[in-house]
Amino acid sequence: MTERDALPAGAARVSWAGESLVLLPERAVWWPKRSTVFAADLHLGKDSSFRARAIPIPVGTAEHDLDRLDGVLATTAATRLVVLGDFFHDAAGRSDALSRRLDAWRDRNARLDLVVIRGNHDAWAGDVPPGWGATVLDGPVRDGSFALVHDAADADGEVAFVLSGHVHPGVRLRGAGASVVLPCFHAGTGGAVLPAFGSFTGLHVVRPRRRDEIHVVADGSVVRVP
Amino acid sequence: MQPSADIASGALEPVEGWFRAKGWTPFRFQRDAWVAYLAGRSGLVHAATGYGKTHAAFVGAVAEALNEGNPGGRGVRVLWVTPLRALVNDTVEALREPVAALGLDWKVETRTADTAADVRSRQRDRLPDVLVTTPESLSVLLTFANLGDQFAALRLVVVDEWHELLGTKRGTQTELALARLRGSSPRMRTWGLSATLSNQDEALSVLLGVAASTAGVLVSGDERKEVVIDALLPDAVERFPWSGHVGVGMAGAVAAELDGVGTALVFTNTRSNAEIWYRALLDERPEWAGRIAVHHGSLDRSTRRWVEAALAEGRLRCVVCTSSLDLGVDFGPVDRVFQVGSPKGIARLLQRAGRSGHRPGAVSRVTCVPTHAFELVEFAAAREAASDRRVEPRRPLPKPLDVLVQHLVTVSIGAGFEPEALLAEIRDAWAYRDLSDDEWRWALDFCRSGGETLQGYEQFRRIAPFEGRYVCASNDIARRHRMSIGTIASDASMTVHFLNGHRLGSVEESFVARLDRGDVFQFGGRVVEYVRSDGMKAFVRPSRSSKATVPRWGGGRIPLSSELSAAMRRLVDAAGRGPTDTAEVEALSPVFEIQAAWSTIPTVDELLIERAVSRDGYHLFLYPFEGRLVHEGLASVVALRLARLTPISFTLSYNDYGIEFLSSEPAPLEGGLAAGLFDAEGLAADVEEGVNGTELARRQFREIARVSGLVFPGWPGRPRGLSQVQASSGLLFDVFERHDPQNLLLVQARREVRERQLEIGRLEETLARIRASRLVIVDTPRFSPLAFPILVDRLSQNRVSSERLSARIRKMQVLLEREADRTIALQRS
Repeated sequence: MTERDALPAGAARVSWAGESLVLLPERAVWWPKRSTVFAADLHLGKDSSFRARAIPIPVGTAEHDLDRLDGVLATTAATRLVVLGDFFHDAAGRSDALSRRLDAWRDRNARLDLVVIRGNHDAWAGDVPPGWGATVLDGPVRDGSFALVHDAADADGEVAFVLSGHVHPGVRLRGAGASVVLPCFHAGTGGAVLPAFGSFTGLHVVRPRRRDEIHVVADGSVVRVP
Repeated sequence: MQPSADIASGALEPVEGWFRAKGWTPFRFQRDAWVAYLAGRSGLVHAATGYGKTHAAFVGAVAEALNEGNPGGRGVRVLWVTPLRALVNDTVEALREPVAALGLDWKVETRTADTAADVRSRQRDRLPDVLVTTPESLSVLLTFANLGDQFAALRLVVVDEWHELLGTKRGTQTELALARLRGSSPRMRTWGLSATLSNQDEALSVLLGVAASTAGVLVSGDERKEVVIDALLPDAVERFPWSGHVGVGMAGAVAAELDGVGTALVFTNTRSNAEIWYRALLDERPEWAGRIAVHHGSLDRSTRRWVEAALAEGRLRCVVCTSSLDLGVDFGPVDRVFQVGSPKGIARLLQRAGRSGHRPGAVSRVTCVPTHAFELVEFAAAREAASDRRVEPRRPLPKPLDVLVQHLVTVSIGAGFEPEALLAEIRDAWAYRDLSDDEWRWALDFCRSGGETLQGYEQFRRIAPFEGRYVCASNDIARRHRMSIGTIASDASMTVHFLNGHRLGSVEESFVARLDRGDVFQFGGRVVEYVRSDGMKAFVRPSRSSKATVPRWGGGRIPLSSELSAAMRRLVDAAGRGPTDTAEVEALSPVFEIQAAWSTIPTVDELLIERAVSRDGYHLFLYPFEGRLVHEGLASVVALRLARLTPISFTLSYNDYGIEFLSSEPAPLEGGLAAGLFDAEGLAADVEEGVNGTELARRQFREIARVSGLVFPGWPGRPRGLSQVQASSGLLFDVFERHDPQNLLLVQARREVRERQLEIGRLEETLARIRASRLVIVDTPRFSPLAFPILVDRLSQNRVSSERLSARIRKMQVLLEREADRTIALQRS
C-alpha cells in the first residue's frame, strides 16, 4: 500500500511537522514514508498483573492486543514498529504464559524492525527479551522530523515535533443530555500525544487548548472534533 | 401461649417496675414483643418512629438475663445492627439506660469503621455483651477466627430500620451474616424494627431466613396515629405549570406558616433544594439567622450532629433537610413538618409526617408545598392512599451474585468453610433460597480460579482448598478484603475545607471540576468562594457575595411510586367528572378547564394520546401517569417500534405524568397501533435495544465491580502499590464483555438494569393496563396544559433515539462546519 492509496477503513490523514501521517482507528499512527507504525502504552500483562494480585480478570487481553497489532502491520505493510513506552505494565504481570504469547508474536513478526522507547512502567517492568533483537532506547530520540519520547515532559526544549504517549488522552464530548469520554490523538503546536494502544487501559481526560487538533476514536473511526 | 405468658409475667416484673418508676406504662405492642421473645420467638415490630420500638426489641433480653442471674462477659449476648453509622452512638446511649437502671453489669459498645484501633483489637479477643454495629462491620466480624466462641452466647439480634436495608445489597449482606450467626448461635432470636410496609410478612420472612420463615411474629405498634396531610394552596395557579420554575415561589407562604410554629422540619427531595430553600427562608426572615439550619447527607458529620442536638434542645425553630432526617433515633418531636415538592411515595410522606406529634396519641401533621401546580394532585392522591394505608412494599433483591462472591471470601478468612455446609447455610438466606447448583459452582469457581474453564484465569486465586476446606489464599488478600467490605458504591466526591483545614462536608468531583478560582457557591447554608484544590480536597473561604450557585449532588430524581401513580389517575379521573370535594384538585380547576377544552381529561380506563404540530416538528404525547422510570422504558420501546415501521428519529422527553415523542415527520401512530405498539411480546429485547442496555449495564457494573472486589475504594493513606491494579469499572466491563461474556456478574448487571432501573415488571403491568384501556387520540391545535411541562423539560434534558455515536459526532461536526462557513462568509461580506 502506498501513500497515494485509499486510506484504511476508518483512518484519517494528518500533516504533522510537514509529514503526512495516518491516524488508525486501532489507536496507532502510520508513517507511510518511513514504512513505520507508532504505538504507545501497550501495557501488556496488565491483566495478568491484576490476576497475580487476586483480582479476577479474564484472560485474553494480551492475545487480543497482539492480534490488533498484527492487523495494523498487515494493513500498513509497515516494516518498522516504534513503541512509545510502557510496552509492559509491570513485573508482576510478566507471567510465563504472557512470555510464551509474546515470543510467538515475535516469531511470526521476526523481520519486523522493533524499536522500544522506554517508559515509566518499563523502568520497573523491565525491557523486552534481549533475544528479540529489538532496539531499546531512552527518549527523546530523533527520527526524521520527529522526536520520540514516552512522556512529553521529558522532551522539554526539544525543537523537533514530539511524538509521545504516557497520558492516555481522552476528551469528553457532550451530546444532547449525555456525555462520553473517547480516546483521542491530541496534537498541539510542539507535538502530539498518542492514545494508549492497549485495550485494558484507562483514559485521562485532557482539556485541549483552542488551536489543538483533536481526533477521537469512536465506533471504529478516527474523527476530527472541533 | 398461656404458660409462657405466665413465665414471662414473672420475668418481666423488674422491667415493668423500672417502667413504673419512670412513670411509663408499657404499650401493648412492647409487652407482646417481650412475651414473644421470652417464649423463644423471633419477629418484626413495625411502628412509627418515636413509639418505643427500641425498648420493645431490647428490654425482653434484659429481663431474660436478670431471670438467669445476670450472666455477662461471655461474648456477645445482644447484637444490634443499624443501617446508619450516625445512629450508633445514640443507640448505645438508649441501650445503656435500662442496663444500668436494672443493675446488669453488661458492657455496651460499638464497632464501626469509626471505632478506635485499640478498642477494635481488644474486641478481637473479647467482644462486649451488647454490640452495636452496621451491616458492613458485622461482615468484618465474620472474618474473626474465633467467631463461634464470640457468638456462642448470642441470644438476640436486632436489625433496626429493617425497611431501609430491605431491597438493598446491604440488606442481602445482612441476610447472609444472619444465616451465618444462626449456624453458630443455637439460642439466637432475631427481631427487626421497621416502618410500616405493605409486604410486612415478606419482610419478616427475609429477616428470619427460609427454615424459620413462618415461625416469626408480627407485632404492630401502629396505634393508628392520626396523620393530617394538607397543602399550602397558591393564590393563583399557572395554567401552564412549569416544573421547577415556580421553585421557591411559595417560600413567603411557608415563612408565614412558620411564624406561628415552635419547631419545624422542612423536607426537600434533594440536597440542592435544601440549600436553596434554606436561603429562600432566610431571605424572607433575615431575623431568623442562627435559628434556622440546613441538614443533608453531604454536610460534615460534626455539623449534622450539632444541628440534631440544637434541634433537640429547642434552640432551632426550623431545619431544612433531606432524607438525612427521615431516619434516626428520637431527637425530639417537632411541632410541624413541611414537604416541599412531590413526596413521590406514600410511605415516605408518612415517615416524614411522623416526625411531628411524636408523642403517642398526638396528631402528626405534614403540610405539602407545591413547586409546580400539578403537585397539588399528587398531594391529594398521597392523602387518599395514606388514609387507606396503601403504602409501598419494599422488595428484597433476588440472589445478587456480587454480594455472594464477597461473602465467600469473607467466610474463607477466619476459619474457612466446607462447601456443602456453607451452601446449605447460604440457601437458608431468603435471597439465595433458589440459588441453583450451577450458580453456586460458578461463584465458588470465580473465587477459586476465576473462570469455569479448566485453566481458569491464569495465576488467579482468592480462596484455596486446605484440608477439605476453603481458606483465604493469602494474608494480603484477607487484609485488603476486610478494608473493602461494603456494598455501597459512592461516587467520587471531594471534601470541602476552609483554608484553616476545617471540614465542611463533601461535593461531587465533577462539580469542583467546573469551578474556577473565585467562583462562589452555597454550602451548608454558607456562601463560600472556591480557592483551590489539592488532591481530593477543595479549599474555600467565606464570601459576602449574593450571587452563589448551588452544587448539584448525584442521585437521580425519584420516580413516582406505583401506589401514588394509581391514586393520581383516580383523582384526575374525578376532576374530569365535575366539582370534587378535594381542595387541591379544585385549586387546579383553571388548568383542568383548559385541558378539557383543548383536549380531554382521561378517565382511569383511558389512555390519552395528543398530537400537535409546531415549528419544532411533530409532537406526540402519551399520558400513562406511571412515573418517570416507567415512562423512560416505555418511551424507548414505543420509539423503537414506531421506527421499525418507517425510518424515523425521535427526541424523547418525559416526566412523571407523560411522554413526548418529537420528530421531523409525523409518527406512524395508527400503523403502530395496528402492529401491536403496546404488546408485551418481545418487550425485554426491545427495552434492551431501545435504551442502549449495554451502556446502562456498563454503568450498573460500577456497584457490582465494587462489591465483588474488582475495584477498591480509595482509602486515605494507603501505599501507592495498589495503583497498579486500579481500573475503572467501565473498562472492566469492556474486558469482561470481550473475553468472558458468559460471566454471571455481567448477566447480573443486565438484570439489575432491567429490574431495578427500568422496572420491567412495572412496564409490563403498564402495557397490560394500556391494552385494556380505551385509547383517546386528540389532535390539539395548541400544547395542552399536560403537554407543556414535558415540553419545557425537554429544553433542559434531551435524549436522542436511534442514532449511533459517530453519526452524532459527525452531525455536530457538520453543524459546526456550517457555523464556521457562515462566520467566514460574514467576515468577507
